[in-house]
Amino acid sequence: MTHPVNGLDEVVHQRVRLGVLAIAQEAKTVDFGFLQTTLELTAGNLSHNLNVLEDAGLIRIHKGYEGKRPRTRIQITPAGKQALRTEIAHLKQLIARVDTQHPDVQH
Amino acid sequence: MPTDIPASESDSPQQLLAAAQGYTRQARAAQRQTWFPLLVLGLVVAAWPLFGLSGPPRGGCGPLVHTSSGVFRYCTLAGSGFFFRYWTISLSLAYVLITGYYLWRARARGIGTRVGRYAWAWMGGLVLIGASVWAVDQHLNNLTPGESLLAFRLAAFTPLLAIGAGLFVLAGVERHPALAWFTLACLALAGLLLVSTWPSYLLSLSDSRPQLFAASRYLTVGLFLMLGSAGFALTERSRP
Repeated sequence: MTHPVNGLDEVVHQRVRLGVLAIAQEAKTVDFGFLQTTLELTAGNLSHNLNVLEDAGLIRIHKGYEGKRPRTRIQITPAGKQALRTEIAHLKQLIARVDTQHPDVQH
Repeated sequence: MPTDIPASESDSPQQLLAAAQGYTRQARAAQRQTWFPLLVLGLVVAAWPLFGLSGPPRGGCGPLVHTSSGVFRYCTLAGSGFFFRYWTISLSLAYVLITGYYLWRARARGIGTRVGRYAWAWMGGLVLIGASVWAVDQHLNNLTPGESLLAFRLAAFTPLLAIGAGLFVLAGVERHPALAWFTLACLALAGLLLVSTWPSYLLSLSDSRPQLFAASRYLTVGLFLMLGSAGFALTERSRP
């Protein structure tokens, strides 16, 4: 049997990117500002992580204007949804494995 | 506090999973506007007596039936065109208003909500009400004296069922168990008041002022929805 660690996707196995996918999964689109506030990140840090996710094909970034104000919306792709599901499943497997092998470990 | 430091790569699986679940909850909570549909639908239900139960009877009658004890004719609003028009128009306006409000609030908060499933719930509700009015109309033409009137009471309950179905869809979309339980309680109350016969035995109002008694049942359900709206509004307001 393959160890769950082997199935982890380095792009997603990170709090911020996992957070972006988790939030985007729940909405049709999500604004850059909402992500920045919820994830408590600077614009630069969030932009970097969004670019990584976009390059991996896990999100789409729509840049536009609302009136004169620029507005950036993020949408999760089907590949992004799949990556999120896989990551969550692997995390649960890892936790279950640790719980089974070391039942006295406190989380 | 915003950070420019890259997220820790040493987060444990437990921490990562907890973070993902926390963000999911935050995203869901940000899209909830439960108080608004409950308020609008409560008003629609409470307003029905004003339009449908005041003034002269508004149709929905079967043919005259001659029996040994006299001439018999049964009328029920639930089989009338007026009943169909009131509920389909008011529920359509309600769904347009609710969907518009959800889209507006979502835009203001920066998280775009999915509203497609509400349209399916709305169409399902209209079909349900239309089928119910048609079935009652057919039944009225074949009704015999002494026959159970349960079908008519069920038909009067149909708009509430359509509203309940819409609220269940909303609870599913928002992953909002409290709304699902509230909807269940509301349907139980509506079923008790509109389908069950025991309230009419408890209240002599049903014999002396039947229209007032019927109005009080819809007003009670409407008020229950509006109280729920106030409760959810307070809960959503106190959310961090």
